[in-house]
Amino acid sequence: MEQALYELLEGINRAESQKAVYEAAMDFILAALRCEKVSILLFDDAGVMRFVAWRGLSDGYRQAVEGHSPWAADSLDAHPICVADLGAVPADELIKTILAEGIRALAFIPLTSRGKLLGKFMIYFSVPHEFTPDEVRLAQAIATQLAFAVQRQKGEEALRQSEERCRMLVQQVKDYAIFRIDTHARPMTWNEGVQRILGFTESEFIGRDVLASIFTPEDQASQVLQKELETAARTGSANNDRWLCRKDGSRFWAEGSTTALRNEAGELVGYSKVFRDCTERKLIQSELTSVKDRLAADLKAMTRLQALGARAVQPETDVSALFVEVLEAAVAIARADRGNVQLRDPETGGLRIMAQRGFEPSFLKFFQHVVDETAACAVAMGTQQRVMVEDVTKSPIFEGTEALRVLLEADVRAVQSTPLLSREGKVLGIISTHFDHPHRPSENELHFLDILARQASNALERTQADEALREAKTKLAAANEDLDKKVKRRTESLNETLHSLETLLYTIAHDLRAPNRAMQGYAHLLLESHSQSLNDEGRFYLQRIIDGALRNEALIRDLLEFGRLVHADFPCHALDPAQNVRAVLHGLESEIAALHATVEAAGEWPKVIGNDAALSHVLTNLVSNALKYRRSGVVPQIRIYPELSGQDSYSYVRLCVQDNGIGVPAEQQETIFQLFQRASNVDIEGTGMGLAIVRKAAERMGGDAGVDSKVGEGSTFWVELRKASSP
Amino acid sequence: MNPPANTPVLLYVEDSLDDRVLFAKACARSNARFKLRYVEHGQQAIDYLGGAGEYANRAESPLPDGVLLDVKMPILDGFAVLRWIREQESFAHFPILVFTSSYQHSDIERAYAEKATAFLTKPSDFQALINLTGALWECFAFPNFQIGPLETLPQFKRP
Repeated sequence: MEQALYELLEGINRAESQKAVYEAAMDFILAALRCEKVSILLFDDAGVMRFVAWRGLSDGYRQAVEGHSPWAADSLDAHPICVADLGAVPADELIKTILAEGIRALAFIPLTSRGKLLGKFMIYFSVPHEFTPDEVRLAQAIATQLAFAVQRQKGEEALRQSEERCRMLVQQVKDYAIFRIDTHARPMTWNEGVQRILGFTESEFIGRDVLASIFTPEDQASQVLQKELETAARTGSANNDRWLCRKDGSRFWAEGSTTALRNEAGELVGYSKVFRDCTERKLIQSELTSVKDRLAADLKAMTRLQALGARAVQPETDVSALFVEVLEAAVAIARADRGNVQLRDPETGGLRIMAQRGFEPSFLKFFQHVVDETAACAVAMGTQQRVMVEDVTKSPIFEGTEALRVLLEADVRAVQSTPLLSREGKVLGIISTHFDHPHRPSENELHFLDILARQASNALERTQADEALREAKTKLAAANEDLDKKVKRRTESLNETLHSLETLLYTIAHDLRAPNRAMQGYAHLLLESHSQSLNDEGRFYLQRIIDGALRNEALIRDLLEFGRLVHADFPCHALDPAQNVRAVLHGLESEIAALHATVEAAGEWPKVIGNDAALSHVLTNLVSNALKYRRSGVVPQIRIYPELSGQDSYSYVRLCVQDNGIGVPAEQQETIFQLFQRASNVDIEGTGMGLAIVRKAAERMGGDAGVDSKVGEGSTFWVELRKASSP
Repeated sequence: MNPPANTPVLLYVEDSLDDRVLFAKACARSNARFKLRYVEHGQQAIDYLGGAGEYANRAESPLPDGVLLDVKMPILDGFAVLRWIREQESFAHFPILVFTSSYQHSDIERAYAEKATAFLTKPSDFQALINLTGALWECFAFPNFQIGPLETLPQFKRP
């Protein structure tokens, strides 16, 4: 039996396919167990028992019994089942079908591998058959071998299929170059991507020493491939992003990775490489980056220009700070290595360096004051246009000049000079930027330099104008100061005059009144004590002396009052004019009574801004006048009342004193308020100062005084004062 | 009204002879029987009140019951005298009537600031002077008669 099983093993091991395994197994089963029919059934993925191979079974039979199994798919203890005579068991539909196929005896032999039920094989006999234990053991042994083979074949098949799928997939991928290389970097596989990206056909690629050639000469020189493989071996994988060369030598940007491949023992067996052609993206990216850089540079330039522009409209105080700023902006905009700003010296006509960056003293000394045309800046000044020298060694401007030697010593290979032009187009100065390598600034950079030059010119012109303005201001200030001093001196002398005037007024008050008093007093005594020794004429003269002295006194008093109104401090505040009216009427009580005059004071009295004493004085004056300038034979009727006035919103209050007196001729209604002017229709004594005092007092209180009158009917004198803000 | 037991003494400090004469005449007219004493300037007033020199004899130069004080005077003016008097403890509440031809505000304010009892303006009208002396007599001659505010003196409504 061992010999027989060995044969079976040989047979099924030789089998290269599942089918061959089944055929070999069935040949052996028919021979070894001497049965007439045989079949092999396996559980499919859905757990249904299906025929995979058979001998001597009709299609109808297979269809009828397929799916039947004495064991569940997950059964762990499936044992062989033998039926010696189907005719002896109760016949159901299934049994009838089996019998109809000419089968009288059969056995189910489970195929299990590592405890798992895979399926079964069946043996059939056309006559009743008693199964011996040996037969069953043999069948089980066959089942074991078969199950093992089936299992192995199944695994190999799956692997084969998966490998095939994978290979097909890889081979058909066109966007990626995917291939394996051995440890000597020789390609072992190829795919469409290799053809498409690298340009190698399968035969040109596999097994050939071509891998090094896809690296750029620079990378080949620096052993990039070796380093990449070392990294992959060490860390598992390595980055593959780099410029590579196609078969035709053209370059492309590859992105991908290299992965180390190891066998089960962990030994390095090769590498897989995957990459794709990202040239387009790379180019777009680098284009984007450069656009971004350029935009950032432009933005920076514009920001600088804007800041400079903002400064240009402000009064510039520090010119040297302005030059430094302009220079920094120019160097930044042109992305230059050095630079300087020169100003035209109006005396020599040459250019002087006002600010510089990156130059040694020897250079500065040489170019400190440029007068001839052996430099770019001087040419720019002469032509009033920008001069660009892309390479100083090839420029006619510097050819054979000392300047060239100095420039080269200072590492200057390229220079541009942009003139600063005034509004009238005259050169104010030059901005130059210098480069260590032959260079020509981009159009964009030149455009910004133009703007910078314009703004710098504006700021410069403005600064120069400011300086002139400042100078003029200083002169003006000096003149003003002079004037101030003069005014101050004049004011002082005027104050002195005023002071002496006040002293004079005081002297008048005191000294002039004393003799007046004496004259009046003695005349009085004379008239009283010695009138018997005088005749009427003498007494008349004495009375005239007394009257004259009294008049004189009144005049002095009014003069003093007027002087006081003009010069004295005059504090004003809110007053209730009703109180002043009351006090005034009280003061004039006896006069009013003596004349049997009627005085009416009525109305709502708004508060006014004024000086208490002055207001009382004014009102006394007006009421006195009303009593004094009465019509003969007419009892004085006086009405005192307030009236809101003022053009805007009644901000003034008129205090009116209305009488039924003689009135004031229309043409004199203004002149009576002037000093010593009296109305023509009065024959009563007066100083001619009363109304002048009234108006002056009103003016000092921020108001006015006036009259409305008709001769023969009466007058309304008023004093107008500011209304105090309510309440 | 009964005349006072002791005749009030009034010291009139005045440099103007006219004013002194007219004041005396007015007193006579108004029956103001002051015992009048005169000095002609501030220094004399201080000497008088201090009992110095020729004023040492109080029988001849009695301490006055009040001082009528002109302001504008040679040697020492009225304000200086006023200040001196108020600095003397014994004269702290002594009646001092400033009597001047000025009615300037500044003078009036200054007089009261220096603690004058009253400020009187010399009347130009002789009749007014007579009335004034009469009122003064009443003030000094009758003990119950208090010198009130300026306005209570009939002649001293401000012009």
